Amino acid sequence: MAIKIAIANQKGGVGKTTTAVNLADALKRIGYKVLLIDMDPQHNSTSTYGAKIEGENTIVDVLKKDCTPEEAIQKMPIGDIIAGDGLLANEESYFNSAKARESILKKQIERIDGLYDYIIMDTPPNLGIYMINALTAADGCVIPIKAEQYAIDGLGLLIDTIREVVEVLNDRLKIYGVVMTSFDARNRLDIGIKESLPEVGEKIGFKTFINPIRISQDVKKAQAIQDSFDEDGKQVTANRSLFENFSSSNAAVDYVNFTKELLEVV
Amino acid sequence: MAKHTAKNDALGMFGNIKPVKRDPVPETAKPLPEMEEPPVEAKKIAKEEESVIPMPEKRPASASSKSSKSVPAGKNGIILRIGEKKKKKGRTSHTRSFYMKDEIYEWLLAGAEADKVGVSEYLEFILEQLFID
Repeated sequence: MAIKIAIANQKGGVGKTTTAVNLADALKRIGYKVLLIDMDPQHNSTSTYGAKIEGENTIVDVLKKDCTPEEAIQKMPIGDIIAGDGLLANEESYFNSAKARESILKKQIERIDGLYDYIIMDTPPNLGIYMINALTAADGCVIPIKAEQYAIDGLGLLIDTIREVVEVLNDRLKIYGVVMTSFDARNRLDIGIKESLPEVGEKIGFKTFINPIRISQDVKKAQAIQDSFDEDGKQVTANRSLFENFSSSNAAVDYVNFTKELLEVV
Repeated sequence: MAKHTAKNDALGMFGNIKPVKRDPVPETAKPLPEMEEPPVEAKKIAKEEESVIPMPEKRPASASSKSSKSVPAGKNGIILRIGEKKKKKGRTSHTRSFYMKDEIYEWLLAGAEADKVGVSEYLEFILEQLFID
């Protein structure tokens, strides 16, 4: 059975997609079989993987049961993915009124549980039906945050939501921990928040990963790598792996250390 | 070797980590400890306690009437309409979350659509009529 990890935070721009993609990539390089599921209408993970949306089965088709999860898996240079889709935004009210709406994803991915060692779920930046589906399906969640007051303030609301999911929908859901992203060791606020986070975690009930992910332009550079064309003019999907392209960057090293730490708690 | 050249390389680090086959343990997660006072000036959104509101046995008076459509009657025969005279109260900014049966939600949705209001507003109206006014 796969270990299912949701990368969750209702705040946008905190590094959910970057963490999901790099965690999936790192686990694959260690030797695990990994699937990434993109639950975000912005489908940034899908773009990073170079997966197609038009003409392919995506997570919308899986959730609507128009296809099986296996039929939606795309095998890309970085790894396997079930693509996200902008249509998720349009279909939210449909799923909000569906029967057993919180468990649709959980039921669907039971079919592919045996195919992978890890299933990583990238979630949207809100506490809506797709985030709840990911938390209901997950064995645990990782919460990326940036070093800013609003990020700490928002943690309380997210933890409350997780408690409710544990109580009503998924009593095996664990918080694997909070990981700081875009950490700037030259910035006093960043250092202050890094130092106070473990104490906050003890009071609220979460672990803080020791290794923050340091800020690095190489993350953006990797995401911006363009597809190329072969001699016949056919588009060749780029491998936008941070480890493949910028393996000596601070962020790459930090994501390996974070993955090692995560493997000790899953 | 000078410190600035002795950088770790992520690709090299993977060699030191071996995959371990394991299944997720289906045990019950440890309950999260009760939160004390909000840490680090955290802003907490208040959470309503869940409570079961019993449907009253008597039929309360129905709301005053100027709605163009009637809404489906509930189990107790309560028919409620939001009339034009009803003053719209501003809602608080707090979001509540709770669970309810599909049948009850669908009934609320039908009523709200008939009166062209949101479900939250329709639910608030019902509760005010039954318990507060």
